[in-house]
Amino acid sequence: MSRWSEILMYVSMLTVFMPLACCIYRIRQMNPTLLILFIYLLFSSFTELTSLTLSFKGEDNYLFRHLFTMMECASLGLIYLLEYHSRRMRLFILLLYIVFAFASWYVLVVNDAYSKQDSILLSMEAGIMLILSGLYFLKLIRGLHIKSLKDFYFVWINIAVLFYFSISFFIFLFDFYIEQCPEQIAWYLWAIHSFGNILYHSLMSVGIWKISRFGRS
Amino acid sequence: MENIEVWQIITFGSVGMLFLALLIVLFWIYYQNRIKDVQIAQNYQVLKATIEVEEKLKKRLSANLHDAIIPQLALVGHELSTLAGSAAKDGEYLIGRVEKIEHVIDEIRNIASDQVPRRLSRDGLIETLGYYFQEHDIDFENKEPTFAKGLSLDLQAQLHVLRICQEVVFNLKKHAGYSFLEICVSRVDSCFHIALKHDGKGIRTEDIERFTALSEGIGLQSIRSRLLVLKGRIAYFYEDDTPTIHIHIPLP
Repeated sequence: MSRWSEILMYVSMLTVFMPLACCIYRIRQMNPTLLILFIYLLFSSFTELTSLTLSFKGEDNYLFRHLFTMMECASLGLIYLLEYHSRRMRLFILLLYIVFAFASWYVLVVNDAYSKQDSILLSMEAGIMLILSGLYFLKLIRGLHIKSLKDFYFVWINIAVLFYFSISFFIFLFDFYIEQCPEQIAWYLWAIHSFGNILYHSLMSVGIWKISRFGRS
Repeated sequence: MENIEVWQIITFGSVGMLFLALLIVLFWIYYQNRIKDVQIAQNYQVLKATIEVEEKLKKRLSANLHDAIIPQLALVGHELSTLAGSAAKDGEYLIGRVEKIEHVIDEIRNIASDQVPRRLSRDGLIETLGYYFQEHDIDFENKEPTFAKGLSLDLQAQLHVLRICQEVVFNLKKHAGYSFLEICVSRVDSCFHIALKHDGKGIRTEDIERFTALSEGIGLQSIRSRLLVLKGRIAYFYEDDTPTIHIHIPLP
């Protein structure tokens, strides 16, 4: 069981190169959303590779993970900031940013958690992303401006975010338990996370692939 | 922690994910259906506005015909008739011309006052259809006695139905070459139903749709746009080898 979970984890780590390759292929249709996604995916690939290398060496990379969480929240938040056009929503996203930045400072600096496992920030990030993703679906249904959902790139990216962070939220909610439960079960739960990661990168690749049809958002 | 709790968590997570996937699928279907409805509503509004503009244009045209052309023709007719009285030699010839002009004046007057025909507003659609078909030697039957008391369609909708019938009959006269035409109206599934049967050359709906798309004339386009406004439909087919046309107009 753990062996399969381990393989799934490595595969999920490598799937990050899929949307990155799509980004490079679509480099000519670069719009602000794609540019931020590109930077985010570059950083994501770098983090995955670093995690992989450090795990082989048996060292932890918590600091790097925490930095990645902050960067991920910032870049995805910025993408939503670009995709939402209403002033009220943009202010709301900025407010979420401030709350998250404050929480990060408190958890990492005040609580001295930068070199240990911490699921508060991860859960908080997942919560923020779930709110933004859910509200985006609401925006779509209220506006009805997109004629064909399957051809609109951001719908795919939004579904990717919704799925990935729902799974992450669920996993991180039981994080305290994963640490205590038998290894086999922990691997099983982690396999779900890896599956979410693969789904996330696949859906994001579809979204990036569709980007040329719409160009600038 | 017991193992049973672990499986509860895993089951809860899996059901949650499936539920999320189902929600997205439902959202997708709901969204596409809403988009379809919005597009239909937008097309309908555009069409309605176009037809209203056309009707206004026709009204203005008829008013101009009535106010500008008829008096002038009447004046010319009067002058000619005076001239015919004094000129003995060419009198008969001039009288013939005067009669022709008077006939033209009557025709224009009829056209000008035909926007909402007086008969339609006075006697209703069934009576007007009966009168119109009788004038053209067409067998007409009303199978729904309640229609005689009046239809639940407003006057503008009744005018659309009348114009559709006139256009269909005109097309049959022009292209089908029939010697016998039978029309009957009835109520079918809360629709005003008109059935036309004839012994001429028949056609099928798909051919008519093709002609409508290719045609530059206003006849077929007019039938289509009026049916769209009424949310009705027309079907051309063969019933027991008899060319048949069915027109369905939903009644409010």
